[in-house]
Amino acid sequence: MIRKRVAALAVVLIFAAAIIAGCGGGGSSPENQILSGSVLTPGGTTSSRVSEAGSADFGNISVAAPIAVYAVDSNGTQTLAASGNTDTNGNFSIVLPVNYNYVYSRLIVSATVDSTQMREFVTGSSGIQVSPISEASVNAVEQHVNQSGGGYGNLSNSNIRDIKTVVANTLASEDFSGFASLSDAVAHANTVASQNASVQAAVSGALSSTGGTLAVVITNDGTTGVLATMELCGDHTSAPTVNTYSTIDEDSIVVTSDDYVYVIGRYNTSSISVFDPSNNMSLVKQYSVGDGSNPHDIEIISSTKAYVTRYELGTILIVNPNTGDELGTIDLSGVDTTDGIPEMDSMVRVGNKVFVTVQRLDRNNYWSASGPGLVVVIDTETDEIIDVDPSTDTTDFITLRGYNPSVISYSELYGKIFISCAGDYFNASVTGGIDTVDPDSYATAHLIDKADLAGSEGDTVNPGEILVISATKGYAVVSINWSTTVLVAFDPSGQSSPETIYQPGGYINTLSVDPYGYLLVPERNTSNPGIVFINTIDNSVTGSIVNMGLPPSGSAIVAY
Amino acid sequence: MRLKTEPLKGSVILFKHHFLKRILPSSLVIFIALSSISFCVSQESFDIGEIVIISDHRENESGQIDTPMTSTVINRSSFENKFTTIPELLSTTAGLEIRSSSGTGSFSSVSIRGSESQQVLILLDGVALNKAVGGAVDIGTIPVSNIQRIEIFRSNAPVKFNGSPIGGVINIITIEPGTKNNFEAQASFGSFNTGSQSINIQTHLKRHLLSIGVNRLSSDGDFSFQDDNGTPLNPSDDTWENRRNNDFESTNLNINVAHRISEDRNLRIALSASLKDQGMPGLGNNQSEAARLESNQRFLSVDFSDTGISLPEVISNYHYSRKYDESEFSDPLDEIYLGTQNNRNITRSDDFSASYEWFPSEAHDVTTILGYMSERYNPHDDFYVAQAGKNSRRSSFSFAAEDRISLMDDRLLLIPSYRMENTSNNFKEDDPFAAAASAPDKHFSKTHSSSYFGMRFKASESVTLKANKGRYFRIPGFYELFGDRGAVIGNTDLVQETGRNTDFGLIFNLNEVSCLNGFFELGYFRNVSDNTIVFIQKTQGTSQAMNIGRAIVRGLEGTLSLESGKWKLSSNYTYQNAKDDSAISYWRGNQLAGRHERELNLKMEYLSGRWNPYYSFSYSSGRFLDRANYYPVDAKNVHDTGISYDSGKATFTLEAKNLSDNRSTDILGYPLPGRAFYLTVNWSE
Repeated sequence: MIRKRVAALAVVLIFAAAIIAGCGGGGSSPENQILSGSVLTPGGTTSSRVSEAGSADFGNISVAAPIAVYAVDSNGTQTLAASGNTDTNGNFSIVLPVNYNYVYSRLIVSATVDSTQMREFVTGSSGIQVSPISEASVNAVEQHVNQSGGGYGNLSNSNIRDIKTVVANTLASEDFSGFASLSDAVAHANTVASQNASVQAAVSGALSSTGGTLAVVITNDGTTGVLATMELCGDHTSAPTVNTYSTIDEDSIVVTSDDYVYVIGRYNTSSISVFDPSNNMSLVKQYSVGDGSNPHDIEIISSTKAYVTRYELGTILIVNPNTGDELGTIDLSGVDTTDGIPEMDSMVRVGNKVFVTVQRLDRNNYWSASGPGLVVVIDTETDEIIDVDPSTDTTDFITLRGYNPSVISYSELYGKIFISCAGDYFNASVTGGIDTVDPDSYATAHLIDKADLAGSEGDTVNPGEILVISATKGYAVVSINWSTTVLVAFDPSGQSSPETIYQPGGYINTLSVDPYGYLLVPERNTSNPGIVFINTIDNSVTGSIVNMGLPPSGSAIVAY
Repeated sequence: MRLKTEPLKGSVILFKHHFLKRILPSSLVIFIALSSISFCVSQESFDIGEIVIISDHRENESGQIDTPMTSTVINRSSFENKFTTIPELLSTTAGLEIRSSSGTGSFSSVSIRGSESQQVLILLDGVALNKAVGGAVDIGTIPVSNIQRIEIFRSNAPVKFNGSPIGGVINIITIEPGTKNNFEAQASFGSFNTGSQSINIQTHLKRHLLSIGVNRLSSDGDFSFQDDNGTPLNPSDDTWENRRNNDFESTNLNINVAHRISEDRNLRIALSASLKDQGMPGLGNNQSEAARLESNQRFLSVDFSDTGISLPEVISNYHYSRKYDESEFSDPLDEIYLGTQNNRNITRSDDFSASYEWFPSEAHDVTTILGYMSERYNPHDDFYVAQAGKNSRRSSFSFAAEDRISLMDDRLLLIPSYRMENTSNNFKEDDPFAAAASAPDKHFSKTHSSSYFGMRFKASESVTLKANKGRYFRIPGFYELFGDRGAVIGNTDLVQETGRNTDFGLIFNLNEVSCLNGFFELGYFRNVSDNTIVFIQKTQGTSQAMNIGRAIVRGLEGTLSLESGKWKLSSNYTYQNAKDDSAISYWRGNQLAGRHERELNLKMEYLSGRWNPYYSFSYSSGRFLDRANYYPVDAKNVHDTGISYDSGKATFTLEAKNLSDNRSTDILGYPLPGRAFYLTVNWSE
């Protein structure tokens, strides 16, 4: 039973990780994270005597218990990040501050039940299960750290998942039903796990590994593209370590998952390159997704399945993201009735749905949008298009207010999808701006019109990349009169007016936020290009521009 | 002193596209018939007085141009009876580099001493092929079958070309009307179904000298290459493919007529017309099926020379030319990723110049040139709704003066020159494309100047020293100033690119010091190019030209030409340090893209009379395909060989090119062909 639960937990964690780190907008970092899960004890007991529960199975506690979330630095120092209580069913949901994030920070959730503390490493935002089993994992790591005198180092989520699997396997045959107290049950779990050679090996191996957080940066000069990385540590007083790796298609975007970096080479190469950040960015695989197909985004559904939007074709490619094996296609050609090419662009996943922006440009009419932008919803279990209005005979899609939608981003905090709509680059009267979509009801709203984002009256304004990072803050890249690019901060609730906060010297492809709450802005001026850090608290530029070699055009964050 | 006329330019008649298509095939038959009649009438040479047409240089004993400027002449004798192209011919010249997109007949541009291709002035019979719209001249379209010679001025050039090119001058001269009847027919066949057929006729009719050349060149261009499938880091999915949609067919007609009006007055009319239809194959890993480019270029020039009648003791040359250049790019399947399109661009130009050469004293030979040029660019879009785009127009007035000062019994030659040009650019935003960004509606004029000073000193009978220094400019093109169809945003604040070219060297005349016939030339050059224009991406789909480039190119050139008995050796070596010196931080200090660091060319011929074998070898190294210097190109060794059999009137030549099948590329993603074989048959009488 425990084994099954651990396996289920692992699957949940993987899915949760994919949702949050999974990249819809080119590897953008998530906003305020919400951690949710439950607290379990043997038989669900909350009394001191486990034996009274009469069951070896773990179950949710039935009283409200205090919950705390701690951030652990590399030395083992713990900082309280957030706190709250479970409900009377043992479930909890805690909003983290924006500068805490399980992908980049080492987080531990602690629950106190009947004066007994149980902890769990956070490796996903939902489905967190705090139990004696999880405590045994944390304890094993803590013991090793105390004995060795070392710190947590750069213990990665991948390392922790490995440890948890070994601990769960070790304790799978243990009977927790007869203990006199919950404290005894926890102690037993800790003892069995810490004395097990496999657990010790797993912990020792994990703690001796090196890891950290990287900004993976696409750099290019218009002809040559190069993949580069920058170590992130939140310290802007000294220059971070920057490395450059292989040449890539100069027209590339980068997407990250928990384990890998995916570089999408668009029209010229129409390829996907998979790099392993934990192995010095070594190439895992490079594969074509169809000559001239012009891939624009990859959405990782699982370690063996991903969707790839192809701008020049009418079908989404279903592919094994790490091997390139083609698994099938999803036909979207019927979405565009003008020229048959829907111009599918970016994707975001919410639960078991993937939302795909469709621009419907008319290539026979100077790429003007043939109608308002659409969002196609795909069921990730069936790989079929979901009819958003079953009351009609036809398969319906979400119709946006704005035209020419491009970047799509999901805000878990709001429970909404944000979509930037460029409008028309040569016709200022065509509607554009930022739209929202409810992922459950599919209701849409025109949050901010493009004319209100930036520029002056009469200007041609076209929004591109957007990133919502908190309840009150979002960022958008906006081009004005085809010649100027500005970075705009906007209020996702629409309560306050957008504000231009930075003017980079060139076109920006993607934005990202690092674990410490700094926005990474590609600066493409010719004299001093690099990554500019903007503090998302006050939108101020922090530190110096970090030279990445060639001018950066986009970035994504990955832990390793 | 015998007065010589200077090269003139001009054009009057415009042929319609369809007319040319009809007339060219039949003209082949007519020319053959005409030549037969002519040769029946007379096989003798004749004398209608001294007419010197287009002879725009003074040759020294070595057959080189007697000028301080560093120059090279490629004479017809070096390539007749063989299958070759202009890019091939130029590529073996010291200091010249070719960038070809896809082999024979494809778009090819030339750079001299590390210059940008568009900084090189290229003339065909004195008519500039460069266009105000901008971009490099495609030398892949120029046939060689009717070319008499090619003059190359590296870095510094005479004012008579009526330009101020930073990158030097390539002056291509077609077969001149001669005083001797001649008929020549040539056909070549080779790899990739490449074929060339040409006829050249020189004849006379009373006081008229006539030269007619017609040429057809075609190829399937379906060479094999290694397709990396867009995954250069994954060789396991590479396959060998044939280049598709890389065929081309071009037809060219040249007619030169020279008429001696009187003893001192000559008239020359030249017509050139060419049609070309070629596939645009796209990237190697993503080949197109239907993208095509058709070009239609024609000009007619009229030159009139007066050697002292109208103006005593003054050689007057008047030149008028009209040029029509139309290109139509069609991409119906949106394979080149600029959207489905059918763009037709037309450039029309009129050029008038008057030059006067007089001799105020025995030591001075002064030339002044007044020029006026008008050029109009009309883009059209025929794909969605046929419509005309924004028109651009440039007109310029120029004045140039050059003094050729001969001292010390002609041992010392000094040439100072100055040229001034007032250029007016006009942009009309009267009917913009639907998908075009608004370009600034501006009319403005600017005055530019260039200057030059050169010295040639004959230190002895065998040693000649040369030194040159010049300052030149390139006016921004219409693309750069006014933008294009929304993808390029205009920038009317652009200023001209400037270049400061310096070189010096010496020539050993080996005739005087050995039994060998030939010369050895060694030179150093340093060219600095400022305010060069670079396109910078501004938004997702737009870029804009900016004056932020700077380059310094330094190098050494050595040329050796030897003849001994039946053996002939020609060789040159270039070492070049072409550095980006711009304020662009990520390029500064890099090597300029596409420029070799080292290049060696060698050719050996054995001219026995009947059997004439040759072997040539080219080596080049130290080249990058990109400005960021992330794509180095392996050292390239190319071996060519061939043999000609001369049976009298007929010559048969068999050639093998790129024997070692070197696979290389000049442009990232565009493969070039490997080994190729050609058979050429030439009939001449």
